[in-house]
Amino acid sequence: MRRQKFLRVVASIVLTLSFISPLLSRNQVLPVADAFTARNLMYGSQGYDVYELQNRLHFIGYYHGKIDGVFGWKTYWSVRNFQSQFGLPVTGFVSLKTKQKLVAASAGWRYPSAAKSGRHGTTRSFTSSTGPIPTASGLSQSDLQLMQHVVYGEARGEPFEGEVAIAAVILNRLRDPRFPHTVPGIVYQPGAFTAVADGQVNLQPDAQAMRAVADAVNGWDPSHGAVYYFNPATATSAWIWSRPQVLKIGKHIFCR
Amino acid sequence: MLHRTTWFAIPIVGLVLIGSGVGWWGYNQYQQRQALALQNENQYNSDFHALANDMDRLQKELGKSLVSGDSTAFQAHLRNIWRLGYAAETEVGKLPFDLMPMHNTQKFLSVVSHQTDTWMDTGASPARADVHNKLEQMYSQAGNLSQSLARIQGQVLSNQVRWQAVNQALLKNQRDNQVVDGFRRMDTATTAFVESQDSPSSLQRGKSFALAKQPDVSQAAATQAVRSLLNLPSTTQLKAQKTQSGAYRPEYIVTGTTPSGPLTATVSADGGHVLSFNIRHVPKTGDYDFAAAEDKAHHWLAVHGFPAVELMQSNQFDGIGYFVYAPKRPDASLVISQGIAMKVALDSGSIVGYDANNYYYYPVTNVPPRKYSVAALRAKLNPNFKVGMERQVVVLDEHQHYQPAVAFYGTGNRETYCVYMNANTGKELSIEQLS
Repeated sequence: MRRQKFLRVVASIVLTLSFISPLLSRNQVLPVADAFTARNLMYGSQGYDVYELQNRLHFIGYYHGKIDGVFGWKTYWSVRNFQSQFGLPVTGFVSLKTKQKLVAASAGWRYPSAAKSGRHGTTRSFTSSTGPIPTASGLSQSDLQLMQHVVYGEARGEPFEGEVAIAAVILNRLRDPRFPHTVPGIVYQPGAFTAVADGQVNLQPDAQAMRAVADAVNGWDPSHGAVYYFNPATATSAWIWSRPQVLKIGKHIFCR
Repeated sequence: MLHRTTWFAIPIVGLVLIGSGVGWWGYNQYQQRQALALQNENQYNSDFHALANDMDRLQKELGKSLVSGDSTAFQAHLRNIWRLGYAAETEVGKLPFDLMPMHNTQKFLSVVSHQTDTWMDTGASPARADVHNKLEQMYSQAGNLSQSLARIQGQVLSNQVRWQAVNQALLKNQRDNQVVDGFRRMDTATTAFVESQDSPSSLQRGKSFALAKQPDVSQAAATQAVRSLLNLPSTTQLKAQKTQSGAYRPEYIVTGTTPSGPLTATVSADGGHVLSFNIRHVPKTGDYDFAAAEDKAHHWLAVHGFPAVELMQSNQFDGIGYFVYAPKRPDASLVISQGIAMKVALDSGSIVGYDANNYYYYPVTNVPPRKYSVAALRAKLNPNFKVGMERQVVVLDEHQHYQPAVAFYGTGNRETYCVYMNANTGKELSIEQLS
């Protein structure tokens, strides 16, 4: 009897909380008429706000790309288009003013019920960490994946910097006329990487290897321009010792 | 009697059966291995002979272009040279990596394809003296390489050389392997030439000698520069180590543990500029606004004495925001080739990385005047390319000279591109696909 009463109290508390909490969080973070959070959005932003932005732009016929919660070029162009049509300064940057205009223009739009349940989570949890690496370097996603495999096969267990350096060496070779012009060409050049020769390149790489590739394609080169590296404990070629050395990271010596 | 024979015979027959079984299996394995090795060998052979063949044809085509006087036909010859050069380059890439002499052959081929590419772009006439001289030079180099390859080809065929053996000889640095010697001789036949394949907004480029004249700084000065840039407390221990002789320019690598994580920074020994730093950041759960992170990175650059900059690229991966800024010149044009990269942790909003290698190693020295207006350049664009915005920029061209340009951002075939138009010559400089 007592237990039932207790359960009833708990249930009622849970119920009231579930009614109040959306209201609470709305009051905290939603200054615009019943939509969006206070965040400004720009190229590269991700999360529910971008998801809503794309939905609203799609609703009024300005956005025709994939609704994926990632602010890419398609979103950028449609925001600019919207801004110019609605007399706003054309920046491609979604500030409070742009959001207000957009909400007014797309007043009929409502959250689909599926998205609503997850809506009050953090904005970043919307995208998983295994998404594509955004890059303007002209490399394809499969190039980056191949690099991730090589990094993992060659340098797992090395310091993180050593992993970034392996990816950087591949990028340095790409710009060096003495090497093939494509990432697969460089990776599968006979004898170029031991991890390819002994099949370790086919191991399932971890997330850290991808982070290393992301850092390398976004400009970090811990190898200081090296195009070769070797492990002095296992190197069999006399030639490799004759290369001018730049530095040592972990077990690998990097050279030019 | 019969009994005893049977007792002897059983184990013997058993042994014979097992033995022949193992032998049969072993022979099968051996055959398979041989077949595989042969397949491998044939692949190498096919690539090598194709290379020798293409080099020969390349040289002949270069010869034809030398005697051709008709500019339309000349362009066709150039196209053939370019095509053969590219094919040969691909074949070199498939030969054993340890054949380092092939490096210089590849370099030569790269020069040939770039040069012919430039000539095709500009519609070079065969009557031009510089074109003729360069072609003659390439013709004689191609001749040397082609002859060396033919000689090696003869040795490979008559001595039944196996590529595996060549590999072994190279590994042991043997001098008596004829093929290896042949390749060594080829090595000296080509001249060194390095050409960059960077696009205007490349983040990783080589180092230049721009800082070479600045005074050398000491190890202590290098750590001090990092300490003051990052505003580190005096309790933080920093270690500095100079790069070895192989580095293009000497730099210090400064390492230590900061309150926000392990740090690696590089400081140029010429002048003591902090070129980059990275703080190892373990992503935690957190929710820092991406646009606020951008503000923070922008502000950081302003506070630390950088000129006015504008955001060029922004993206995020796995809890890190990556931003690239271009310095602004007095005439408001952006120096895209001097991109400064910033990394901001999206859990705490702290700056975890910075890279200004391009900023320090590629200072803007001499920019030709702008002769074409934005509207005039815009009129030269393909009508199918829908321009969304434009920026006045300054970029490095393929010869590492700064050029005034206008970057047109827009869409064509549903993708986003950036087209750089040279404002001095009115020609297209480069196209980058952004999406």
